[in-house]
Amino acid sequence: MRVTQSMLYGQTLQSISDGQARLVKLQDALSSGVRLRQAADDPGAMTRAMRNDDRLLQLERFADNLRALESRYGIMDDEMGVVTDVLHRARELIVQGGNAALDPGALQGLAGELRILGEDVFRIANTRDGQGNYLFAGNLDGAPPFTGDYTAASYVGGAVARQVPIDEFTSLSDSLTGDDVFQNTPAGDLMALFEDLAAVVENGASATRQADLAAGLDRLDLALDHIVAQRVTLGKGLQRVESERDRIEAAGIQLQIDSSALRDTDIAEAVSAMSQELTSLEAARATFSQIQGLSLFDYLR
Amino acid sequence: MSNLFSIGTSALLANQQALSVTSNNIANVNTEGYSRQGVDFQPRHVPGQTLGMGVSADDVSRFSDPFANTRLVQSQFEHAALETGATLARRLDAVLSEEQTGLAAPLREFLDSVDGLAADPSSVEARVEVLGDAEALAQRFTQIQGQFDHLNTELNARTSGSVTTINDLSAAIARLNDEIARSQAGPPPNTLLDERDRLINKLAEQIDVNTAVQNDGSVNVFVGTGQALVVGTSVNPLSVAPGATPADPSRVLLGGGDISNQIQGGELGGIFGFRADVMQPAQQQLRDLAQAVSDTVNGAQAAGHDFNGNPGQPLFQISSSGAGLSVLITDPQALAAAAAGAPAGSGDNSNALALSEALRAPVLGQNNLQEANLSLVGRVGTQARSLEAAERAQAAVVGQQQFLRDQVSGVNLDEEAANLLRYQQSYQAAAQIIATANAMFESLLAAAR
Repeated sequence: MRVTQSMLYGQTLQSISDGQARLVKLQDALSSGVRLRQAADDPGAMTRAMRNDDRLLQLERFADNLRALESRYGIMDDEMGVVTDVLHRARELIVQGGNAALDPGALQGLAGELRILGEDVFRIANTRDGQGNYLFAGNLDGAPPFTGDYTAASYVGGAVARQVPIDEFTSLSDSLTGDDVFQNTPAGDLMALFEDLAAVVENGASATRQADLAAGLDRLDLALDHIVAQRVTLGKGLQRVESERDRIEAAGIQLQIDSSALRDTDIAEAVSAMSQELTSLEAARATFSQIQGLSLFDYLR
Repeated sequence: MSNLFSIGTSALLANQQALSVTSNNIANVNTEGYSRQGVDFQPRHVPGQTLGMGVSADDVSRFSDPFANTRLVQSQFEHAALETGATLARRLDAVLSEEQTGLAAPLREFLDSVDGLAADPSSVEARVEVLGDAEALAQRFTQIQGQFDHLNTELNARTSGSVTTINDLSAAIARLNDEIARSQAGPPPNTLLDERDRLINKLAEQIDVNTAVQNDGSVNVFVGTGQALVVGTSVNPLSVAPGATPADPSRVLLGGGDISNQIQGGELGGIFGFRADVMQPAQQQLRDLAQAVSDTVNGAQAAGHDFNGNPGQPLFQISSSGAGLSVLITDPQALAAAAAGAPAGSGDNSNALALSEALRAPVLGQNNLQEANLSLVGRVGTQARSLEAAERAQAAVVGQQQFLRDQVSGVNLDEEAANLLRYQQSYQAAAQIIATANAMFESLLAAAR
């Protein structure tokens, strides 16, 4: 083989410049911490990392939805807790109303308080959440769901609640609709109930008074059972929300670990690769000057 | 006696010539395309005489292997095409795959804000966010389309530049053909041959080149699939046919015929290959994607009622060029989150849910929108990567061919140093012949005195 000057220069310079190019790349990966800048660097890893990004944002959305559901369920449960208190108070009032010693004025007072309790429940049924949306209005939550007053309330809210996705396959209702909570109950219309009870209590002369009061208590018990059942539904929803949140958090962490492995520089690996490159670059430089220093002309003196 | 003088003089002259050739080799050690030269020593003799008459060194030969040169040229135009293609593909890949320029991020954000609207359709903020993200997505489509247009404009400029270079080189090769053919009778025109080889190598950077040497020493140059660029002393110049707009691809013509698709090598081959294999499919995928986004969203809009209780109107519009998008809706309340027939102010989210689902359902073959974008990114990324790998491999082939060419034609300084020494010694020996002849002549004169 004939070796020529241009071969010596060309090959050594090429290997030095290749080594420098690899060094620059390693240096960039080390200083930026990013191994993958564009798909051409590793198309499979890049698309996988991008898919992870898409999925992560969706998981964040599901987590947001779960937080919103948790808050809404919580507010509804609080409000229904108040309804429970109201029903208990009504029960006390009815029991008091059964005392034969009370005069009509006192009965009037009891009836008045019952009517106020009815108004309270009507107000609760038209409560808004923190965002200004009506809690018990189903998917028509921009306007009060109950019109009229507690004696003859009509439900004008949505027949169904909004469905909020908590993963790709599952949606949860974000509320209980007002008609199901307050009107379609075994005890009838829970708001009108108070007017009925007030009428029974203030009518001290009725021949069927004791029986009517007993029937009122039965209706109140049915109403309490109904509200408790609704709150149990909410409680189950809350449990579901919490377990889903844990699941989503875990899935998100897995995705982040995966993306980091795909995108981020493995520092230990990069540092050792870099020192290897530096060694071979130094070797190339040293041999270059040695080979170039060899010349027959040096001996022709 | 005169014999001795004559032999001595011929040896002096021949070795002087050899020293000149060696010096010339040393002088040109760094000259690109120089082929080393050597002296062909020939014994001189007179017919009918047993004794020779010294040496002649009239012929200076050029060390050149035409096959090695041809293989080098071929490896060069293949490499130039791959290098051009790889660089362009990497640039396009960066546009499509980087977070700041690609579709992935705005598409992801848009889908997310639609999900946000589905979670809280009565919220004005959620609606404003959908419109903002729709605008960002539309802008990104338009920006990428703009990048394609820029790239096309740049490639057109490079095509024109390349064609000008090719025509200049062709003309120069034709002129050299003329000079070489005319000097056929005399000594070989080594420098002209080197120069012509150098120009052919330059041509190989621009386009695929095949050469055929003619009897008169001229070289015919063919490009593409055999279209003649230079025949003897005549040139068929290439020309450029511009596209309909500056952003449309221009074509390369030879003798009025479009040869763009026949060009496989050099920068031109790289440009046309990149366009056909990488850029145009990517542009088509992008157009399909824009169309799918627009169709999906507008279809869902039409199926629902907006916050004012009216049927939804189209949100996106495709630009005339095909891949740009614009947003038609400015009123956040005009987003149709509620089912058809829902009254004004309805907090119903069923249509927003349907949109969210449709945006994640397969729309382009088996792919949903995000997967379709990932397939675009993955395809261009893979192409860029494999072009880069092919470029590296071909660079090694060029190095190998250059090596083989240099083995024959390159200058080795040690070799020349040895020759210098050798010819110098021969020259001194020849001078000794003259001295000997002179001494003999002197002793003869002395004898006669």
